[in-house]
Amino acid sequence: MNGEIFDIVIVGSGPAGVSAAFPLLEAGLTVLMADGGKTPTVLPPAAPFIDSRRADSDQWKWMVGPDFQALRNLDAVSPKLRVPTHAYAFEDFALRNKVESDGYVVVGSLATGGLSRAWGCGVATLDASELSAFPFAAREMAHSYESVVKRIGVSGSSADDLSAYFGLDAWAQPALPMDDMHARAYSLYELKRNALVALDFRLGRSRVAALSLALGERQACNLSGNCLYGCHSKSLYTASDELEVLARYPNFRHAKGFVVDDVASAEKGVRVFGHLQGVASTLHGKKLVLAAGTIATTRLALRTLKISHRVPLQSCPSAAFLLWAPRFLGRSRRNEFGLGQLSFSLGVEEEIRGFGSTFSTTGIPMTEFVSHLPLRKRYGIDVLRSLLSSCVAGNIFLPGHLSDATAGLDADGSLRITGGYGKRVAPLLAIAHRKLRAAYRKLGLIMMPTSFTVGRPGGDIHYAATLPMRATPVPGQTAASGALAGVDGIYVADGACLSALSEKSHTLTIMANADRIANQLARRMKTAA
Amino acid sequence: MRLLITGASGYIGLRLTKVAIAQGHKVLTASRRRVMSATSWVPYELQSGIAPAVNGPLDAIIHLAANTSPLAHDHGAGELVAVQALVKLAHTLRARLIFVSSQAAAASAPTSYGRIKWLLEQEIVAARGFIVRPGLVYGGPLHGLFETLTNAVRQLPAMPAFLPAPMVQPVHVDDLATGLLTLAAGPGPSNGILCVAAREPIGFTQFLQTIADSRLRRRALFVPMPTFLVRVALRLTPPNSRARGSLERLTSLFELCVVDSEPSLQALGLVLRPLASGMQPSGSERRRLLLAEGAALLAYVLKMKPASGVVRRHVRVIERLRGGQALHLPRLLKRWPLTIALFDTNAMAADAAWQDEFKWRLHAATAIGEATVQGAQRFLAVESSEGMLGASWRLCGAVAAELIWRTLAIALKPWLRRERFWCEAQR
Repeated sequence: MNGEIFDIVIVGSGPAGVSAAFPLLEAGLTVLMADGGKTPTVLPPAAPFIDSRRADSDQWKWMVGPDFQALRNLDAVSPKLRVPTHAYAFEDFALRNKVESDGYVVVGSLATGGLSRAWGCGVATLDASELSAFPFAAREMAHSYESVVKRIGVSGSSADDLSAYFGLDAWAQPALPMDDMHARAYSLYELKRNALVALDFRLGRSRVAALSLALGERQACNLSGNCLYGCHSKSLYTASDELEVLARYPNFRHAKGFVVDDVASAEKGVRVFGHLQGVASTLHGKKLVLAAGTIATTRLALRTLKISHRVPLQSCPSAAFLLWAPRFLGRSRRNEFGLGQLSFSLGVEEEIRGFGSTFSTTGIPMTEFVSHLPLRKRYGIDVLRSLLSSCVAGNIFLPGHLSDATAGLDADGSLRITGGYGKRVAPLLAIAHRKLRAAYRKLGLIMMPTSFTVGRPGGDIHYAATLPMRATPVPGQTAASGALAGVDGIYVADGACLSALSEKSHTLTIMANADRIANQLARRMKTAA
Repeated sequence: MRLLITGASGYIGLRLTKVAIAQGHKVLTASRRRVMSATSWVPYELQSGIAPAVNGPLDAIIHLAANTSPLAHDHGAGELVAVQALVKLAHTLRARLIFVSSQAAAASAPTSYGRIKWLLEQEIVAARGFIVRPGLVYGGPLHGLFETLTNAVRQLPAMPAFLPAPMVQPVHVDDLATGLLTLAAGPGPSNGILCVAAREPIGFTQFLQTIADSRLRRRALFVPMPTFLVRVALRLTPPNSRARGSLERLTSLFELCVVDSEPSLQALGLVLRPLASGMQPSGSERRRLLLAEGAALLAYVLKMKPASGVVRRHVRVIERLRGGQALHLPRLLKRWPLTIALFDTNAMAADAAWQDEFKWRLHAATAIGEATVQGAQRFLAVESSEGMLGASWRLCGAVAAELIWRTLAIALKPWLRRERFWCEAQR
């Protein structure tokens, strides 16, 4: 790879990098993909969750971790960040990419497949009004949304109140079966629909990148309940699974374990400086696509532009809560799908909507809940043992424009993130809390007192919009083509270039946008050639 | 380093080999029988006088093989030939030669054991080798004299408390091994003789008492016995009997002079572990306390006796993430883990730092306890379906218990904060 000049160098193998690679490879361009190359060190359980818990004497390895990863990040909000089987995906990121923060949760990945190794699989498209903040016609995204949804496999298609909100049912697989608690809540929603819609609360099946039908080498979900730890049937989408598909293209190369330090635009192309397994090395390309994840991409872009001012960083204010279904008290534990089963869209205030989903609690370590109870551990466990099987967990996200965080380069070249959420966030979440309590009450679900927990800034991991696409970009912004203003030949294809961040799950939009950018880039390069 | 260890199947030899391998050294063991399959081995018979057949380079030879059998006394002639052969081997291979001798070694020692050791030492000194005179070696798996003494404490209804009390300077077998390896690698002192033994001598009776207290955790009864009786017995025993050997070693103990081990320990940079700590079956008091902590916290969380593997996991967590020292727990909490409820969630302890650490460790124990087969029963009730009634009953029970402990904690607060309540833990 040293010395060889590729048409395109892509930094990052997460959802954005992989989505950008396909159109470029299809067009016959030579593509080199560089990533941190970390791979799993702890394997998820092979047997269904309950069976594994009942019999696996080594269950501590995937629940706590051989290196006790689950006890190392007790400050992190999401239990996902503590799961040993994913620890490698987050490992060393802040250190190797030189990112620092004051209280803002920074999560990134040096893993092949990036953060999609540990995501909630939530997907949604942006509608025309949401896309109006983007400097291109909404229809430009339609084709990309379609091709990405078909490629990664999405389930949840259903004629419900959120069908238009998600906007992808035409290409999606049927929904996975719900558990009994969710099924009852949904049937109550259909009965009391009018009252709930009056509250501006709409409920529907979650659209998730989890297969209900087999797709290629990936199997349909068998409800083994191991979603949090990793799917043995590969039903959950992760970009790393697509690396095998990419590798079949003769014009594709993978620089695994190449950690990028800097990128530069030169006269006849671009150069990428970094370390391949610790040895300093340089990659050459005609064009560069940055898809290292919002935070890492932002740092590389600001460094190459030598921008000293700070840029805004958006993420979705979030909260988590627990709902109790009294009628199911004493329900026995069973293997259940661990990701979103039902999702809601809630009007919080004029112009501000919240989005969230509810999950089965079975796969989540109960220790996570015990610490939130105002009880002694011994009796907290007693209470949860009897109560939690009749509970579902939920979350809510608000739009990213409520953030007031910024990112900028320190004198030593590291990226410092400061700030968090604006003043409006706390009252908005309080309103959301109240509305959700009322809405779920009608669905036979009681919001557990004190369970509504506001996440720390950044804890949602929906980082975006640091280098937003604008019609007339200034340095530090990007054009509709993804081209970074101020330099030649460098394109941004991940969350960093989103023009706006809505409350919806943003991964699918990142992927579709990367697909759109790559298609255009491929066309331009073919024409130029 | 590449090391040749003779007598590798003996008490010191086994531990030395283990420690050396753990430190990443290449070890060639020489003994009559092969004991560790992980190392390369050459057969070695001390009495043959022939050095082990070694090819290739060596950094050091540590000579531990010794004739301890009282029935084959040849006044050390066989051992002397063996040492001379090793001196020659060391010279040929340019390896450092280290001879593990005895504190009893002296030209005019009262026992033939001490005189033979002295004789052998002279050969080593002449060849510019090094001599290590260990104190009373103890600790680790039962072996050698330590095994004899421990078994005696275990089996005899009463132990003799010799008067006047002979003074001993104990050294843990692993500390001795570390010292030997340091000597094999480092420059070594100029005079060539090192005393690896406790700085402060203690009475032999106290040593036996510590075996009873810390190793065996049992009471020992001591009956005063004048040492001259042992000497009389030695006189009366026929020279070739088995008992004579034991008696000889016992008398050699009485004759021991207290040595100044300070310069040797400094030269080796060796800090010996305290006797009570080294006497624990696991080798350290620290670990025993950690195991007790883990057992108590886990029993509190799991409501059942935790499996030993889970307790050890707790110990590893504290070692890896929290500095490895046990938290001082009042004895009440270890005796009845249920009483941990007094300190759980309430800021009961006057010491806020203690309370914070306690909270962290209890959380860790919860996470570790949950991730077990036992934990799946306790947390998920996977083996039972309790139904709505059962669940309601349990919920009420849990809330009632919570209220009881909350009330108790408030009522007992003044007592729980008393210094005496906490001091017990430190004892």
